[in-house]
Amino acid sequence: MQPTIIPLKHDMTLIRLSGEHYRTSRLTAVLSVPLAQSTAAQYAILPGLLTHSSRRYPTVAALAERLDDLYGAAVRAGVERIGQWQTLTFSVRFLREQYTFGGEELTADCAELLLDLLFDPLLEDGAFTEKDFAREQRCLLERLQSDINNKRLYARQQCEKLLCPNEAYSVNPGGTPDSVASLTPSIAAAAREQLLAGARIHWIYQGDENPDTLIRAIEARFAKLPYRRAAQLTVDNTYVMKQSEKTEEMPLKQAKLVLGFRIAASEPDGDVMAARLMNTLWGGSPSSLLFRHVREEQSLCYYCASSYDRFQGVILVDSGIEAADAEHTREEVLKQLDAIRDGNFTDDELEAARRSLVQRFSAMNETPADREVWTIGQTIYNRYTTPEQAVSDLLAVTREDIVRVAKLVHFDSTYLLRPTTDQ
Amino acid sequence: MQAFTHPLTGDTFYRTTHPSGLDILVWPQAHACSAYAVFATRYGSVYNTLPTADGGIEVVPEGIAHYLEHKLFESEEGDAFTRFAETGADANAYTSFERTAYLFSATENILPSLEILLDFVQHPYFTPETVQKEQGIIGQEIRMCEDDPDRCVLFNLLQGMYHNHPVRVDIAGTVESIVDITADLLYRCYDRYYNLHNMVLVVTGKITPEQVQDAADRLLKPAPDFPPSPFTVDEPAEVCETYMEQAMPVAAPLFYLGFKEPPGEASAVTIAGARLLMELVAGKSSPLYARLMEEGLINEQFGTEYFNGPAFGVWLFGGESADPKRVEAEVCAEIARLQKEGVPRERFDALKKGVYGQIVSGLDDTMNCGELILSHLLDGIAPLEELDALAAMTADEIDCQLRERICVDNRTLSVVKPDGSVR
Repeated sequence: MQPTIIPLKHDMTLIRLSGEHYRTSRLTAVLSVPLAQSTAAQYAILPGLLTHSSRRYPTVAALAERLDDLYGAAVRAGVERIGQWQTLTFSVRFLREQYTFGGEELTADCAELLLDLLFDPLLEDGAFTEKDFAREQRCLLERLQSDINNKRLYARQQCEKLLCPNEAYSVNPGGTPDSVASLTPSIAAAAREQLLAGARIHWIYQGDENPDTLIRAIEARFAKLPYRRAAQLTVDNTYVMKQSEKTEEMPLKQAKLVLGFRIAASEPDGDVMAARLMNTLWGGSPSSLLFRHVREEQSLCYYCASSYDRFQGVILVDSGIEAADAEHTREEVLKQLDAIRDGNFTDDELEAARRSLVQRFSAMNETPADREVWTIGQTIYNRYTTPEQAVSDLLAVTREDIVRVAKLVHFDSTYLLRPTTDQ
Repeated sequence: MQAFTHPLTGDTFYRTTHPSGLDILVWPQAHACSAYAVFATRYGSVYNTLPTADGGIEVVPEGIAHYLEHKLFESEEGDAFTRFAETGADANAYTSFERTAYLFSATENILPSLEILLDFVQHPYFTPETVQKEQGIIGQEIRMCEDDPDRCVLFNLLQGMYHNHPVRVDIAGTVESIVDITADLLYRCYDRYYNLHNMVLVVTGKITPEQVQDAADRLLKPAPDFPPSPFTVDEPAEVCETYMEQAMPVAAPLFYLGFKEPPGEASAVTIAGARLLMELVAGKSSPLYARLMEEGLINEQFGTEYFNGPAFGVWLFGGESADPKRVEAEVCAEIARLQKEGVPRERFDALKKGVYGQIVSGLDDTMNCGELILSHLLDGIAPLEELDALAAMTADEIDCQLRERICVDNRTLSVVKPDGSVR
């Protein structure tokens, strides 16, 4: 999937990915702003507000009926954290003409629909309607509050706060319940304008229509807006060496242990590929050291896995265990990290990790959705590589590289969510 | 292998009953970057008995099908994950109510991976020591599930709906029940249910029928006869309980509302009908969805699902709500209204297009393709026959299914409510 990068007017970029053999096409807008506590909520409410109705389709049902007419075209929107950016995506996925009953070409209709949602929302006196706003505010609040239902996710979030206090990275891209509660229809409408005027904007188009028509349609919408200037972000890499520990209790059956690490290898210039392979070797696959030693040999858990955020240089290791095994599990996790630092891993273990990562990279060519995920991550630094190039870089990583990046890991935080002791 | 081309999508499938007894289906996709293979047996958690030598029935411990799935990865020489690590394939397995499936996805070394899959599933190796060792791992998996409110609210529902049917029992069993699982019992379950006549192999993506045929010829050994034994259970038509409740550390109540379907055979018409009926009753373009959303009774977590298996069928409506009983009343009222008034004829064609588009859009992913076809084969229908049935479906047929397959009085509401520990 060699991307074609097309600069657009208004400080935007269109990334075109070919792929004639797919059954679906996709158009996605990727809008990124610096992640900040003061603005996270106002942007986080927009994906819901903008994709459930518009002036032309003023109700959830009217929009859904239109999508049924377009052969189940799917409009999706979301908000996520990529490093210290808050990234909003708005996409439409639709069938290619040869798969419709009557050979209908849906690209123009679906692109217009997506642009309508972004540029022509249902407003009253310049603000979202009270009814739409109340619905989306409630949904966002309920989504934030329900994070606690997933104890693994909750524990990871708590460890991130411990690991990166007062850093943009630990800001929830969905906002906080308090900040969402303080939003108003006017604030949300102003946030939409700020987003279109100041976000970094990339469009990703996967389909076989000539993109020129699409580009003209996108640029025409922006031509009606005031001058826009894309946000810049100087990534804050400041890190003070520390060690933190926190334990919480809840009426649970199983404890969740999350260990937080910093690693001095992150985008854009760090030794990211070696760090990815080191992480895979440590706890990123079923052939990893953590899976084999902590789960298979010691039967301590069902899962014990590590994950590496290459944008922030953060590694989390998490496991579901008996609370009494927490200290032993932590020691075992650190012992396996030490083993890597000392070069005490076999070539077979290293190559198994490498093959696992090769498979993961190669599979990013599988579906339009996978390709989109791959590409969105690359918009942050405008460095576009294919999975094939990534595999090639991965093959060049040596045992010495692995040992070296493992020594760049600093153990920082221990978070334990344990069953209430008087249960 | 016998080839046939699907009239609507143009896809060509190859199918054979191998001399070993195995039903094999291959769906080559020339442009796919990976292959997905799934080797499954019609043996899941609901098959909770074994025939005895004297013609009687022996009840086996709850969770044994899932336990067997875990243990089948081991052999005298090592575990299958280690073998897959040598090919780089991404391997896994799962156990559901009616099936156990072993699978991999791979971009390279596809044939060696297929060989490993066919080999390890045919070669059980259980010893008292290895069986004992797994108790810690599965015990933690069960603990994890016990803390998962989404899972608890579903299994509580099934306990409420069914008096005797083993679908009411958690697939993984309990920490107490798995203690009774022995190597001997695992062998007996394996010998009974892992008969190639009772199994299916589906391979999709970057593969040819000749390659699969060759691997099958080399690796599959003819299986002994498999005397069919229809699944029988003494299950009353009515639900067991109308309301189930559990308190857990959650932010807001979670619910599942289930309608118990009268016994019947699955067919392409019933499967396609179920998808259409769920969209009709509670899809995003339905009046019910709009009403529940506007009244603040549901949020975006609301969803519907129809699932069925040996002697059971459930219509599910679930999500998060401050007032699950009002949702229950609204859903029942809407079903009753549609049963009386019939499907709105002016919406029917668009609904069909929408559901058709959703299914076809999912076929960009070789894994989705493999799992969809596996379900079709296990349900006894031809690959993608569901799409033909959907295209041919009439509003009269849907009216008929709605009246015959859902009885609003035969239902259970399951609620997980906050226990007060979450602020």
